[in-house]
Amino acid sequence: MILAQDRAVFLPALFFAVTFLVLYIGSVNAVIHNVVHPALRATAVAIFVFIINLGGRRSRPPSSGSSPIGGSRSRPPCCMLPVLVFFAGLIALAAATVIGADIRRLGGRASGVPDRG
Amino acid sequence: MAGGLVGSRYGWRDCVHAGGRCRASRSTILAWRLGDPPRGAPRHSVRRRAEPASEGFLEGVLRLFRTPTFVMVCAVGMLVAFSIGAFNHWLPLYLHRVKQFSVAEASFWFGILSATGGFLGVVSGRPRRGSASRGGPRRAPPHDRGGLPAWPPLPAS
Repeated sequence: MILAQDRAVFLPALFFAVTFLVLYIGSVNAVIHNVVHPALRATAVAIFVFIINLGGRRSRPPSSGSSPIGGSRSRPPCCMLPVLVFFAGLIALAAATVIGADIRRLGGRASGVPDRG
Repeated sequence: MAGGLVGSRYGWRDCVHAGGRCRASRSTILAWRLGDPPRGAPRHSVRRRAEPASEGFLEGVLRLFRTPTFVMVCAVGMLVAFSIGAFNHWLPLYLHRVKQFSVAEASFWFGILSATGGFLGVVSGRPRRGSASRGGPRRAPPHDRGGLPAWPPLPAS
């Protein structure tokens, strides 16, 4: 998207960039619901929404505008997108390695099995 | 897109007023039509509601932040929300300044791309309805199948 100069290339790339940016929402909600106690699901989702809005959206215009990654006049701040999404992907991969333990821990707690983790 | 049409034809004040009325109507309809299901149980579940958590609210919240998956998912959500915000905030400028679009073209393509791409992403990323939500047998956890969970929350047992 950043390198391509032809509209026929970067406009479809932008479309898929937007699509993949919001694709995570369903999976993240399913993950949250599966790793917390049923009585805490609503609280967990509320805290999640609060945190992402507080940390993500509220700080966005000033901090993305002054970012050294893409804040220069020739490279507007949306060039920092791939960097942020890359780190988000790394954290998501790390989360995929611990989700099994969290689900098992939740199941063990619900059935009275002592928590080993 | 509707806001852009109203704004370009009647002005931004009418656009804000129309948006406010739509949201007020939606809130009224939702407050009137939607009840509050028992906590911890799916809305249409025939099973009994979940046993309440044994600890208090504050302890429950603290336990949430001791769950590694929840903390990581919050970090991912924060980064992606930041990216979406930066994208929405700066994409028209990027199209205009770097890709040499006119202001009208940049606004048009920004609206088209964010509306259609966002809609497709939300719809296709929605968790699939599985047998678990209808009281059927539990499937193997998706992490055992090498992927992220793609089903709705398991019903309270």
